[in-house]
Amino acid sequence: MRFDFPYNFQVEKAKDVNSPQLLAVFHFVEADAYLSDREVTFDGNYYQPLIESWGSLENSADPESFNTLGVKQITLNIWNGGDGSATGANSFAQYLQSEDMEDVEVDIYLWFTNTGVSDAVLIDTFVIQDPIEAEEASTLINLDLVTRDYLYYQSTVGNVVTTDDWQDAKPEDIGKGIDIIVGGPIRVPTLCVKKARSFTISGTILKNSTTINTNESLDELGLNSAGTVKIGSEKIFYYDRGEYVIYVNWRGYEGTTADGHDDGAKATVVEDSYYLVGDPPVTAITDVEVEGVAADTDSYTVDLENGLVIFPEPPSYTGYSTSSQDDSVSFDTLGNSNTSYQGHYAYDEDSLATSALISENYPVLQVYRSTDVEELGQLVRIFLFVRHWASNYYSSDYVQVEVSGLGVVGTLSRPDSDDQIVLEADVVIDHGHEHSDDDEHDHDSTDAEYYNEVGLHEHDISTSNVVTATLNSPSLPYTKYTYSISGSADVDFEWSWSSPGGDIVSKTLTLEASITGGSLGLIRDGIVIKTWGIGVVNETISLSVSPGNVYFRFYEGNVINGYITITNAELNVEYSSDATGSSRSSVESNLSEGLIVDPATGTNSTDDVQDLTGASEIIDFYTTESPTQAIDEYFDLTDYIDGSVDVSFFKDRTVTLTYVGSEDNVRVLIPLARFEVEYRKEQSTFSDNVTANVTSSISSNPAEVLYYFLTEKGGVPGELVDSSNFENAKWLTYKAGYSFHGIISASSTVKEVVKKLNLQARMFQNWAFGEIKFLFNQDRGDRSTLRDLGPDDLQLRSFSFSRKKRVDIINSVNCLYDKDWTADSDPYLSTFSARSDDSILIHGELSDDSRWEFDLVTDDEMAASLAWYYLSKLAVPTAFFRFNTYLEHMDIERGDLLTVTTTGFSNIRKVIFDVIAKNYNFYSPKNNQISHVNIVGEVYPYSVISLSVNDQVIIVDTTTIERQTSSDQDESMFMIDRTFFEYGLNLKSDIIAVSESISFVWDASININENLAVSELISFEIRIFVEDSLNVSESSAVFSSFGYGSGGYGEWGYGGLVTFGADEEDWLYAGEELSFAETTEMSEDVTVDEEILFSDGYGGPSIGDGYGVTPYGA
Amino acid sequence: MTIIKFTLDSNELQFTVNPSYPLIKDIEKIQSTDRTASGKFKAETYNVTLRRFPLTWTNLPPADYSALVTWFDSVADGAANSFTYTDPDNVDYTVRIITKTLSFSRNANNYFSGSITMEEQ
Repeated sequence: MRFDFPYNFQVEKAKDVNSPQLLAVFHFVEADAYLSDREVTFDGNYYQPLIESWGSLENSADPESFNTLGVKQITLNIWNGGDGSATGANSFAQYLQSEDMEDVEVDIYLWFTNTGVSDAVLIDTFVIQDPIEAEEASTLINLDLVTRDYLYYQSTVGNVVTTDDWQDAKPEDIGKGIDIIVGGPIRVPTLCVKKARSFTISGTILKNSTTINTNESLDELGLNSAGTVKIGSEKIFYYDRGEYVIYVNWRGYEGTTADGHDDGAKATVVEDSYYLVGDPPVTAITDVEVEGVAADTDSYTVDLENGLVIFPEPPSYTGYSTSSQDDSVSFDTLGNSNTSYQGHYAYDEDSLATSALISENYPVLQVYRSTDVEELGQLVRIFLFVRHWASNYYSSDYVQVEVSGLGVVGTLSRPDSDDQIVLEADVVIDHGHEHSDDDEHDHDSTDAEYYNEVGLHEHDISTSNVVTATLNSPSLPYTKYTYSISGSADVDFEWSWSSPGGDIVSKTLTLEASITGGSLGLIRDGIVIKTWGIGVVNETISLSVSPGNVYFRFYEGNVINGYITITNAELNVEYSSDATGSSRSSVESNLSEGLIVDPATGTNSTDDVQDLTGASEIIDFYTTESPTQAIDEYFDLTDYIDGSVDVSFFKDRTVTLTYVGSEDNVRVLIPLARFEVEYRKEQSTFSDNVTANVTSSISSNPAEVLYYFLTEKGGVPGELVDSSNFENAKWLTYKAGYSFHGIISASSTVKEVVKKLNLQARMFQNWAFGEIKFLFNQDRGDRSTLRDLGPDDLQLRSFSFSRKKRVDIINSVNCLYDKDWTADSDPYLSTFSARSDDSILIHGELSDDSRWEFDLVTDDEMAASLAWYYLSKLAVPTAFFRFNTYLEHMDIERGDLLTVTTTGFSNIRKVIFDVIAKNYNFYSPKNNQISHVNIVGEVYPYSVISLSVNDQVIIVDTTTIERQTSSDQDESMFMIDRTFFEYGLNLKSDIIAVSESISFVWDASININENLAVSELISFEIRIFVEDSLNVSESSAVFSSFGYGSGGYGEWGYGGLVTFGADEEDWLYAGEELSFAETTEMSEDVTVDEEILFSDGYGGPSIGDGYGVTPYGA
Repeated sequence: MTIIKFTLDSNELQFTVNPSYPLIKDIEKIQSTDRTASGKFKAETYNVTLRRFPLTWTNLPPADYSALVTWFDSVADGAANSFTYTDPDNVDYTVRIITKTLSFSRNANNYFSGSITMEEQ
């Protein structure tokens, strides 16, 4: 509500008849132009009568929309008849040509013509907007004006990183916005605006290398001729450099450790690096982290004025590698409980061929690590590794595994028969060897079948080993003619050789002959073993008998002129090796080391076989048992460990393997047991991922944050801000416990930021009369109504209302808050949900979660407060009032809480509503249109939907109705869903003596008529509020009775209801004629002086209407 | 009672007859009115008073008519130029002709009848 209008202005606007005049001042660059709808000289300036129509000043956005800014617009129709200057010599349209009309400011004043100059009030300041239109027919120029706040919302709030400002900025950060931090401290990411130079080394260097080649040109990098670079955690001081090389004279500089570095390792120049936390200045920068790891406070400084974290050398962090590595931790000591046999072999890794042994007789192997373990980094998983095998498989006994501090972690896996060893071997049984007689050769000793295939084998020592004999009788060639043969003619052969003695190995006979008739047979021991018929014979056949028993015989048969010619018959006989003498034809070699049969002497020679390729292997087989295969077994200890541990976990932690049982009697052998570790190595890594906890120089108070962005970023002059109102908003947000802590994106516009801030602080701004007000949406209970508008204030038939669209109902508010500004995804750490079960029951669950990202809210209570506030505002289908009032009420402003009473169409009484918009329909003499102030109000939880004022009321949905008087409207009343009626009983003053005021509020259901259709449940109460101004005579208790004509005249009317006082003071009984329920709760402090009679006398219509209902004259 | 005349600088139109009775002087107050829901009267007045002089002749002599046509067409140039109107009471007003069409009819006596309306400036 506006309270600072000039007195005369207030007087005039309140008049039923007044004389308003609007004045417009166009602030062109060239000169101001003064226009009105009639001629007037005001404050020394002549206003030309060029305004044809002032139009309406109204919201540019739908005021019912959620979280609107309230920019308003107006369209002026201007005669193009002058320029608004004192002379008015030129057309107004001149300005359209002479300068850019857009954004020209226009002040519009309202003045009542019979008041002084100082009594004018600035309606608002506007700027000209597109489109600018003119009409030929009317010679009118149409100018759209919007309120000046429109301009303040357009700019972006932040700057970007530029090379002009930051020459050495990290390339990826150039062009990024410099965000604005509010409140705090909060952890924020940074922008690298000065990055230390770096290059990569060419070739691997050792820890003492003094020449380091580079892949990049150091000239282009601008590297100093001497300085310090850092590779990994090692600093290196160099005293000179070439374009691609640096010359080092100090490895491990400044207390670092010299180390070798791989080819391609990154070397960073030790020089300042700047990291910008946000739009400066800030008030505190603490807890700097590099890649999420706290940076040593000695490793950086801060510059609050410029919002910088400065690292004198490139920021790095000591962290753990992303990939894990494996290592082992050995035991070194036997525990006191150890009873195993040679238990130390379980951890002696130099003697893996030997094992510790546990058995029924040596049941316990206990080992531990007694010495410190070198730091490994972050332990990811820990295993106990045991390699074991057994002398036989077993199924009953077992070996229990226990780790001190963790308990029993399992048992050794027992081998079964499948785990027994199966031996397969290839054994060398021959060797390559050579013979002294130049017969040198190797045998294929890899062929397992060699022996079987070859066995004793023959070594040739001469070119001929076969004795050949030819026939010496008959002489060859021998021809036998058939003509001279009659019948069979046997021919005997005699072989001409001498047997050398010994065994004959093989015998072959070769025959070359031509047979033209008859046949030739070979006969052995009188048996024909082979015959040859007519043809040429050239054949060698084996003989298995002594050649002395073989002869040929020619059979003539009946063939005439046939003959046989034998040209060659040869017998070859091969003898065995034990043959002696010069006629021996072959020998055999008996294989034996160093020995061979001498074919000449028949004795072995010790040097005949020489140069064996290797010694014979000795293979021993223990055949008395069947040992099992070795089993490598891992026991994952990680699951037994709560939290994280370091290498101290291993020291003095005993591992005990206990043989349990006496059934199998096996020996379990353990060649190796140790801890296996999966860990992430600790390492130092450069990173530009720098974050810090930052406290902004901008207050965390929401009102002050809004003030900052509107004035500092939007350009709103501070003098336009209503200071007292602003201070009140600050106080209210502070009182509500609201504060902002977060980041405003630099690329946001002021409009976007203001809407965001308003949403998250329940605030809005009201631009009016050239000023800006900051307003906090208080809860209804914390506010007072500022004015009651009644029928005298409302334009006739101007009232209308509409119910909120269902699509705008939200009955489930799920808000996200406490944002992690450094997170890559899912940044919100907390949520809060507020739900209206009543609304959900009626409308179904309606939510719009995208609205409720409260990124500036970190406090749980604030998030809950916001969620419940918006739920209360949006969960019910509120109604919107629209009506016209007059300039008298132009002091009403958006956000005011008012009541309204109407007659006729709506018939509502003092319904409370929020003003969500106030517009103007300015007068128009041309149309005989009076000025109106158009009010748009939102009504909740009271909403009235009344279609008729007479005897039929239809109430739709959840509705609360206030009625000033009881009425007959319950006839034909249809109620859907829940309905509450509040009836103020307008009691007659002549019935009850009421000194000041009495308010009866009846939540009542009474005498439900037949026509009342109620779908579900109706609950009624009667509550009578008796205020302290009620004085009731004598008795507060009222009884009733039907009169029977007794008593004085008129006292006990026959059949009438008589009420009378009683002694009881705490209840009231009303008669049957009251069509209400009858209990009354009287406050204890009611003062009763006399007797109260509920009646209105003879014939009274309200309580009784029978004769004598009320004592005559009472 | 004097005979009305029009004067603009050196131009003068002195009629020979006065307009027919009744001689009308319209005065209009520029105001807007309204009613509240309770029936209360509301009004705004814009401090503008319009005075109009509708002049009607039933027997305007031809010469006067001719002079009036010249005045309307050339001197006053319709509503373009204001001039001085001297009424029958010999009171001067600065007026402008707001009649867009000069429409006079001639009767059997060769006299003209018609009207013009002037508005005080």
